[in-house]
Amino acid sequence: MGFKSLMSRLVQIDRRWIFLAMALVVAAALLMDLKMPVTVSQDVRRAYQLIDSLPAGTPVLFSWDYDPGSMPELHPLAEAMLRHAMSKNLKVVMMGHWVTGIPLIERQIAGVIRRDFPDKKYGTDYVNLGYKSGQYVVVVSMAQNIYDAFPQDYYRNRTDTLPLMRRVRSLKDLAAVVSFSAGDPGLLMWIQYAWQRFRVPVTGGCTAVSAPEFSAYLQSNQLQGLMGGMRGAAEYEILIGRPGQAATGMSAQSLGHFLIIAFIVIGNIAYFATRKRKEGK
Amino acid sequence: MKKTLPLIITFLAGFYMILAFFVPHHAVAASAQEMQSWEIIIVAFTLVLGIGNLIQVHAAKIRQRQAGWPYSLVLLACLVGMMIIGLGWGINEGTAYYWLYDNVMAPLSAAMFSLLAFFIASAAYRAFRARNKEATLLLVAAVIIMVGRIPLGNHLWQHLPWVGSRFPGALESLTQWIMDIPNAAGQRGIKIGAALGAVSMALRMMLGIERSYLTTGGGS
Repeated sequence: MGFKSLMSRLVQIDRRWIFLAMALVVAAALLMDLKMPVTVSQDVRRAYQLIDSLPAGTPVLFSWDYDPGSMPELHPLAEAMLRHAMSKNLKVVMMGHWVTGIPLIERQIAGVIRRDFPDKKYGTDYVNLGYKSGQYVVVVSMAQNIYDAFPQDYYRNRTDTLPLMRRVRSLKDLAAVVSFSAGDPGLLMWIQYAWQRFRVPVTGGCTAVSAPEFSAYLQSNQLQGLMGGMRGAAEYEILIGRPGQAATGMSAQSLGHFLIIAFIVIGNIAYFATRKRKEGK
Repeated sequence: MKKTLPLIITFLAGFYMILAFFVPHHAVAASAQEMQSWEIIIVAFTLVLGIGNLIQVHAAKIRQRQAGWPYSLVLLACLVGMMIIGLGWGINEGTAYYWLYDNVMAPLSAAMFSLLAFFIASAAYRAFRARNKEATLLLVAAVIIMVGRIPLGNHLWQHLPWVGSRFPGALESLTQWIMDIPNAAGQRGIKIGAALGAVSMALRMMLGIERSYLTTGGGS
């Protein structure tokens, strides 16, 4: 088989071979538990420093703005940040703007707080407000009076009876908002309302695909640091000294990226080789 | 009257919320807060409307045995099943609802999202071609970002003969430059354009020029 006929066959390759190659590369990286050196970017360091600089006992808001679809990418990120906040003895108010993502908060309470911080008490150290429809209206309403926006928490306790919530009457009583965002409503909405209207510092994480959207907000300091996708989570895990799911996932992502680049290169070589042949004819 | 009354309500509600933004007086803030509470309630009702619409569309599809009707049946069965389980036995940890969420919905949703990797790989192979100058520029920028955004890329760059030792941080700097300058500039343009569009659309609706939201179709 000559070079040109090989290229011609490559152009028409069955896409199931591509799927198989991707599956093998990702599975091999995960099964072999490869760890790759991760350097911490400035954006992730800023997010870390915002949380790290807060004194113990300071209330912060964590918003789970994603659903199970984005869980593989955003869950490690939320876990690393929640673990950091708990180890710093911050008081965490939890909520979410995606109705199908609220049970994920429960999952992280079980996986991080109850397992690794058993001395933390619900109502005093952390609160789960759950979901409220209304998106930005909820944010504005929280800034006026949080008890109006959330009269009850996720477990149907009256919000104003919880010791932590007696200190947090408004969004403005929170030192920072942290959003884990898979789209809209999410991080952008928090920047536009929590920071822009009420001057509550905002940070958080988003899926890698939406990270470029936030470059302008990072430059203007409307966003205090950002963790973009799995890499952001891996960097945060390094900063808190506990490499976990994201660090392992980065190896699969790294190899996946290289495979895609290899496909692009092969696809282009095949394209130009066959194009020249057609032109030659 | 059917059209005039909604137009008057839209104008008054829009105007009052703009006023509340600029007037910090307690009376204005309190009434604006009340209106925001109404909005939360109205938005909650749209969920009910959405469910009603979903049932109507898929029930008709099943009745008429249209193509793919078994999928509609599965959808309605899941919708009704989850609602009954959630309303009857609660949604917290330890309930049947939570078990179904954790073991059915979460893995299925994550699997759907994961399929993206396979489609991106296939699309990159078939469509990402240097056909012209613009496509080549996009392709080169994409490859730099893909390599520069992963630890392995920077690690390999530093071990490249000649360039790696002379310019160890060049790939990372170039990646950051693409994100900070051309990307941020483009994003800003898009955001400013979208914001101006949103403001003009809001004004058109408040002033009654844009009326398509009052009907099931058609324009202003």
